[in-house]
Amino acid sequence: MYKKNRLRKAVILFLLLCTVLTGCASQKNPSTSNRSKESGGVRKVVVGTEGTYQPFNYKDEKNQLTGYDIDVVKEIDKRLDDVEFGYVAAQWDSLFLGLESRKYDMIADQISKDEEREGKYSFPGNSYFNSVASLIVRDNNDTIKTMDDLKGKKVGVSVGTTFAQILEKYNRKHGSPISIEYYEGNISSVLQDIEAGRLDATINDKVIAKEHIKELGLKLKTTGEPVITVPSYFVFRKGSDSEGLRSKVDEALSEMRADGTLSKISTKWFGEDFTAVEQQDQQQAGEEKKESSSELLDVKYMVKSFPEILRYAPVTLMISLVSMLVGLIIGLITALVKIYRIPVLKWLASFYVSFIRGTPLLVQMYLSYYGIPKILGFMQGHYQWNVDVSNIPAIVFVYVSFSLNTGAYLSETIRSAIQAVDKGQLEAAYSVGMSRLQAMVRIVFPQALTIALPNFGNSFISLLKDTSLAFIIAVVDIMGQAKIVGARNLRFFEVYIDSAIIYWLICLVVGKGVSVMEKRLNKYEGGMTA
Amino acid sequence: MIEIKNMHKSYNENEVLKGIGFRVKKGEVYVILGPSGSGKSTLLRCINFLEKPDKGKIHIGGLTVEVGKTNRKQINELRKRTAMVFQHYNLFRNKTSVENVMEGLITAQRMDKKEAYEKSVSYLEKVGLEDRLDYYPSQLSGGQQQRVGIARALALDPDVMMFDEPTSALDPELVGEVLDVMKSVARDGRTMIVVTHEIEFAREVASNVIFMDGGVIVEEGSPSQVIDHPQEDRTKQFLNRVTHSKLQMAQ
Repeated sequence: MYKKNRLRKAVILFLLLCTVLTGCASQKNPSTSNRSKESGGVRKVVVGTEGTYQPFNYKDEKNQLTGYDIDVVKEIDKRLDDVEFGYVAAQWDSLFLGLESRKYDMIADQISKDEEREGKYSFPGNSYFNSVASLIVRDNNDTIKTMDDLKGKKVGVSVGTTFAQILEKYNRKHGSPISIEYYEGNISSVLQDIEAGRLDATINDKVIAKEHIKELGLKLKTTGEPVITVPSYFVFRKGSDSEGLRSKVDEALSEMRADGTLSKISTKWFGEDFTAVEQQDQQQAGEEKKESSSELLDVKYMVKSFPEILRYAPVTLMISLVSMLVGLIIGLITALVKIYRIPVLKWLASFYVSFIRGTPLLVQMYLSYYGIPKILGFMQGHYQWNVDVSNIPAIVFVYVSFSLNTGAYLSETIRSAIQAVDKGQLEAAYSVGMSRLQAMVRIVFPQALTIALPNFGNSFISLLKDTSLAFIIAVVDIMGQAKIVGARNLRFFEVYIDSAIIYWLICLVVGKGVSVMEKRLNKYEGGMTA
Repeated sequence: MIEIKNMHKSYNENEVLKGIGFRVKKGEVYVILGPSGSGKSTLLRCINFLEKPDKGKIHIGGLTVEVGKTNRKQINELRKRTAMVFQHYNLFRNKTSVENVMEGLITAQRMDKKEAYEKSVSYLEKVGLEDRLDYYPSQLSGGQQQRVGIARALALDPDVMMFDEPTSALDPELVGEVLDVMKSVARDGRTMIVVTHEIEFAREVASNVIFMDGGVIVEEGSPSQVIDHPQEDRTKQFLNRVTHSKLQMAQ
């Protein structure tokens, strides 16, 4: 009775918690408006933005989207009576996909104009900001002042950004003297890696960089003359249904520029006016012609990109294989610790398994990438170790996090497989005089392997697919390369199809391999003819 | 010679062995009879430490092991001097017949592979399975598996062979082939301790019979003493039950 009551209480509490939490969430997200085109004569427009790009668009302490971009859109909203704007935050690369697939009607995310983008999307005549790109280095670095100083240096940059394009263009012209490290997501991981010594420099928006350096308390500085001045635009879908909206927004921007409102908003956020129109703006647009089309699916581009992405399959396979092997060893040790209930260690093993199973892989990767250097740095200070933490390649952290993750899951598989081996097998082994180790290695493990093999196969396949997260910490694998290639022409959909095909093929082969192994290992369980 | 003294074993509150002691001379066949739950199997399993006894002394071929003062090495030595044939055969599933016999020779006795193979083949010939060398246990009948089990134990050349109800799991028509092999082992002068319900086998082969019940030895003596002229009521009842059910089965 008592237990039942407790259970009921727990359930009620849980449900209550869920209600409260979802209630809060929905209250804090009024921005996700419905997307019906017309309702009562007022057109609803969904604005896509990153929401993590301080101070242009980000969520404040009250979880409200705010920032310069948002303020400008709000001002436009005020001036347009028949349009109502709502906001959705999404990752950078999904903004364009979302625009194409009509999830959003407009992007407000400091987007600059270039030929490929102009080919696919519609830009208003008015820009709403001029971003000044600058080099960013450690504050004790006085050797890097211009692009030419970047030769032979490691420069980090977010994939698909204008800044990446500047670097790529420079490399094309000068025979790739700069080693570009691609990152995903926002600037802070790049900045942190410069401070940690993994990178030498980056190029980014001066305003953004300063804001982040201050916010994160990093020992970095912007340096040299502006590398480039880039105007930012709102972006719209091509096509007649979007045309009206674009011209309305453009008109409002003209008005705002003329009456000084735009400059006022800039001064409010940055202390100076970054909105003046400069003539040289146009100069930055790519000089080299590239094919770009606005078809729904550019099959030619898909086929062309395929081998380029496939080239990174070995990275994915390497990560999977290393993590699987190390994971097997970790899993076996953990399983044995649990089976033999070794004091103290068994608590550690339980904690390890429960922690890994209870936290997202993504979080574990970040913990490994940022945590291990911190711990090593601390050890270095205390024990006079001579390890150069900053020179550890990023892939090591990928190995560490994936091995630990795989090990935890495998440990349960291995444990149950070992325990599923008939106890009589061990007794027989002891009875003929084998030692515990001999009995384990010669009799129990081979039989446990047969039992566990199907599960190992499944684990390997999910591991293989999970490695697509590796790009999060700047390791370029199939997925990372897909993003890099896709960002070049904003052909994300095509390259994602490519990567899906590659992953699928690999998994097919792995699955086949596992079933062949199963058959071979299973020969002793078969009938007379086996 | 093997001697067991004052063997005790309890599972929680349940005392299964209440101070068992007996002595088997070299070349003797000791048959242990008794109803199920009387502690016969536990007694065998305590002798090679598959179960850890609570108290007692084991003396086998010059090695004396006192429970409570054992270490892993001693237990290993003990196991090398004994060999066991299991009720459910317990052949290594991942090994062929010949590999099953070879395992102990290679691991515990560190014999080289070739020699171990030849020795294993000769023991499989002895149990009549020379044509099943490369079969896995799953490909053999119960009787064949148990004969491999006997070959595996024999090949180790132990001071004592222990049989734990070796025919109980077999189909009746397969019992004979296993008993025949056991008889021939006995004729070779092997020291054997056999837990079984096969009264006829005991009468024919045993040098000594023990009747166990409730964790103690109720009666001990030659087959004709214990089986044909039992003194204790418990022995009489048990023999009655067993022979009766045997008769029923025969009919």
